[in-house]
Amino acid sequence: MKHKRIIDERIEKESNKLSSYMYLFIIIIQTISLIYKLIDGALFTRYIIELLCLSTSSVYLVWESIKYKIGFLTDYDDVLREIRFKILSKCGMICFWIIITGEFLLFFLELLEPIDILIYIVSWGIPALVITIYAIKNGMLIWGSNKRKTTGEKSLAKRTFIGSIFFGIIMGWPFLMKSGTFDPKAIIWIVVMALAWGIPFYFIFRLVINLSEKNADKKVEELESESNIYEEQENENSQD
Amino acid sequence: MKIARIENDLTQEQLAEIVGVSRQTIGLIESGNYNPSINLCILICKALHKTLDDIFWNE
Repeated sequence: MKHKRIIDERIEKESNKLSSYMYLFIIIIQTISLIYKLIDGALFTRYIIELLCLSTSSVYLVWESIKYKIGFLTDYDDVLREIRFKILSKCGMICFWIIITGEFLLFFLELLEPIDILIYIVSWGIPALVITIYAIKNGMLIWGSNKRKTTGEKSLAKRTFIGSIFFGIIMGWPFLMKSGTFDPKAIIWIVVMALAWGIPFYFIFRLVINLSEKNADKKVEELESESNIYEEQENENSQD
Repeated sequence: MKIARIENDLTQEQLAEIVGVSRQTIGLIESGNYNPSINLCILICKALHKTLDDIFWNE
């Protein structure tokens, strides 16, 4: 039986909450960056990512708000709050992928200044780092069960393999067609780069999930023992 | 819920597998530290052959 990746509602809700904060952070950074570049008289290509982020996510935000008939400045019950986090989280992911893809393309087209690259790295890197640390600490990055761990590790290995080949090709591409001619030695460089990225990534990611799983188990154990103590006290009180 | 799970001879991990959540989430529900959605409640009740009242209604 194949075990699918779990979509645990508890973890999904927590992730949505975190990603919605990521969206707010990205929007603030992108707005400041856009204003700075407009005042500086920068070329359109230097702020196209900011424009795309702000416009696409705003359109999505308005569209979803109308669909669910929720105002973003009113009070919420739990359900509406969860929907709001879900929408903001998707907006965050839209911005994240626009920045990553846009930065990658514009970098290879040599249309970015070093300051632009720095701004983009700050806008996705800081929230990504904070979210990862929070997720590990609070046991959100988990396999969920031993069976899923086995399948998850296999899936992680496959994904890492594909990712590392992609990374190797990207890094080795300039050497592959040196001076307009094919250089077979560059294949060794591609393999070395793929291994240098893939092996540490696989083991670090596995370590991170195992660490997060331990934290999750510890948290559950603590809460279970607390509730057991509470139940015992309740029983004693009822006997009295 | 814990009693119903034990009556059905299921571990937290097995129940988690059936309803499609993590083992930790089942632990948190059992200790009263997470309020599941109604959909998850229904899945748990089906897995444990109980009604919503049996498991989640506190007199």
